[in-house]
Amino acid sequence: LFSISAFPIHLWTFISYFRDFSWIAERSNLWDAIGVGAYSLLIALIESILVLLPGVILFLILPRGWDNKRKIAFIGVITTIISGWAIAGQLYYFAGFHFPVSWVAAVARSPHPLWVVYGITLAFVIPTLLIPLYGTFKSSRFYTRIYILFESITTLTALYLILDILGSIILVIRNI
Amino acid sequence: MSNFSRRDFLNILGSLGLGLVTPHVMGRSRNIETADDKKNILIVVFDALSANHLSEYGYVRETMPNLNRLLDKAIVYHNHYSGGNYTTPGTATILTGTLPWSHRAILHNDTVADEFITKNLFSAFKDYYRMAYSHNILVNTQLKQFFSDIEGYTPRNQLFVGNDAIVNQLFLNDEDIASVSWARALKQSDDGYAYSLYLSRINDIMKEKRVEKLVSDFPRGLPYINIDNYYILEHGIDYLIQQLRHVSTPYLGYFHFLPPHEPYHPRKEFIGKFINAKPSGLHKPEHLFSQGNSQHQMMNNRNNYDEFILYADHEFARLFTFMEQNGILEDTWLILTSDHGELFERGIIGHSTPVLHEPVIRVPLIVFEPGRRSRLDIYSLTSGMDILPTLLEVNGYQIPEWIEGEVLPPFRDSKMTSSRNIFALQAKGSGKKDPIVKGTVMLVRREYKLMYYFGYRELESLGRYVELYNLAEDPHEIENHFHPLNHVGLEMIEIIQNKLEEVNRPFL
Repeated sequence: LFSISAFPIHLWTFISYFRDFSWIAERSNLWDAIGVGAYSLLIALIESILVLLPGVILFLILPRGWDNKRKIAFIGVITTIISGWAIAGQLYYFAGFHFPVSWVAAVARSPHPLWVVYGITLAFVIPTLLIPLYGTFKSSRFYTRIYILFESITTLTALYLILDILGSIILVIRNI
Repeated sequence: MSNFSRRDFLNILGSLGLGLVTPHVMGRSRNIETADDKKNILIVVFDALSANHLSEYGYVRETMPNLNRLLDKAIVYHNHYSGGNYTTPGTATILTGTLPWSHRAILHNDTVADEFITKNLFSAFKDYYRMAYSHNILVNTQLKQFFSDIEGYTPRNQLFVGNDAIVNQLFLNDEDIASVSWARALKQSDDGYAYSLYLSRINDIMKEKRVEKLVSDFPRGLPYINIDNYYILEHGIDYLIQQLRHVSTPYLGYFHFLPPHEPYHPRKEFIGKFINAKPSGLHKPEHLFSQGNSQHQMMNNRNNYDEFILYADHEFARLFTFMEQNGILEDTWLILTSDHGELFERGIIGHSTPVLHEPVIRVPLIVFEPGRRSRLDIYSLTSGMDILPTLLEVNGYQIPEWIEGEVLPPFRDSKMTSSRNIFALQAKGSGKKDPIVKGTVMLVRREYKLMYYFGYRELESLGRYVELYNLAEDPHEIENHFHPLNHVGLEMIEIIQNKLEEVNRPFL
């Protein structure tokens, strides 16, 4: 479960950090740029643990009749998809993407623009969440495949965790 | 109670004298008997305040109208230069009375060389109650080195609207990078994205709550450093006023405030003040180190910067009025200066640049002498390193040998010869123990100013790149007079090369 929580969080941290790496190095020096990476990994680790907590609670309250694989697949789907949307939300700015002005103007003209924005967002988010959840609920083949997918992610996350430890060592050295 | 502002809180804090007992906010309180022959000293530094943007120094916009009214009792230095073009070297030059190649705080956020831990502004005034505050983390890096000689050190977070206090307390020895990392990980503010997916959202919501009360007075947003460490200058000036009410005398105060450093976010009453007043002489040739900014971008930034100076001016006048009305100016040396300037020309905006043109290196120096009733204008060439020896001289101290600066006129004019060399250095890549092999050295000598660029890969194809201006005839530095047979230029280059050889020798 932890690996699944940690994967998208660490992935996004790495993508963002490497995008910033050159300006940080230019601002001061390479060692400071590495330092920013180390702090970022520490924050990613803390965030992963915080995201894990509701997952653990959910794990405990899901029906006892479900086997662990199904539970993990179910929670993993929720975590991954929400994280995916969180990444998409930031990618909007990251990639400098802009909705057409006419769309924005149309939303702004509506009597409740915020409600419209939330409504449209939920219209996209809810199906992407419910459909795979339904799959894990209904089909053992589906959740088994999801579980296998998460297992392969676990290997990659283990690498991230090694980097987390390395980052922590760097932080200790920097703060001695 | 809902109208109880931070300012009210600071006022109460001051009136209760709580500052004096708060651990290390006011530091180790010490009661010193007033010494008749020693006057108080208060140095106020406005970060990135360019002399070229002040009407007193020839700028067409009246950016400091309040200060101008106060100058009839001041000594105004018209040709004053910072030691470097950004905070680390510029501030260290003021604090140590030496140039960057001596104090060695040249790298971004670097500390001064170990020998200056006990040789600096604070250690020089041992009989004083010494206090310091800075909005700018780069200054705090140096102040922390002098900690044992500062009784009243105020952490910068103390006066922020919302702050990264936890991060800075946890990572005291790595404050700058911890703060940058925290900002990049958790603050979506400007870029719209952060490294963190969830905590950044929570942080955004909390941040909005903190600043919503003040934001209506600052249409461009509150001034900040490190993305959302918001501050307003009023809090800094209020705090300083409270210190002056209670502090033991004689005191030495070093207060380093960020305005007008970017982002240029003044209060609403200053916005749009200069939109129709376009200064002349702005169309200068694009520099080899141009950042590619358009005239439009440079003008926009210039407008915003000048408005931000108005804000600093307004608050400085408030401090001055308080000091005047309470008779504090009668026994206090009040110094107003800056650590470096700012540039909006030749395709360059800001001060992160290898160039050392006047707007980024010429800074104001205004001295309010205790009891002075008339204005005095000084046109000699002066440097940030001259402030420390001058303060020592006027307070009856011997000037130690390690100080490179000279006593400013009119306090001792004999050494301030017309052929004095004024240097400034930009060598951001040079570590404390490295020889300086890449950078820009500025030398001002008589009416000539030379900028000597060396070690830049970008300039390799040009061989040697040098700029030479006659400031008396060409104060806007338009016409580069340098050519390989120009004896003035060659003589100045020789002085610079000899100096570089001398300062590099211990590190080769």
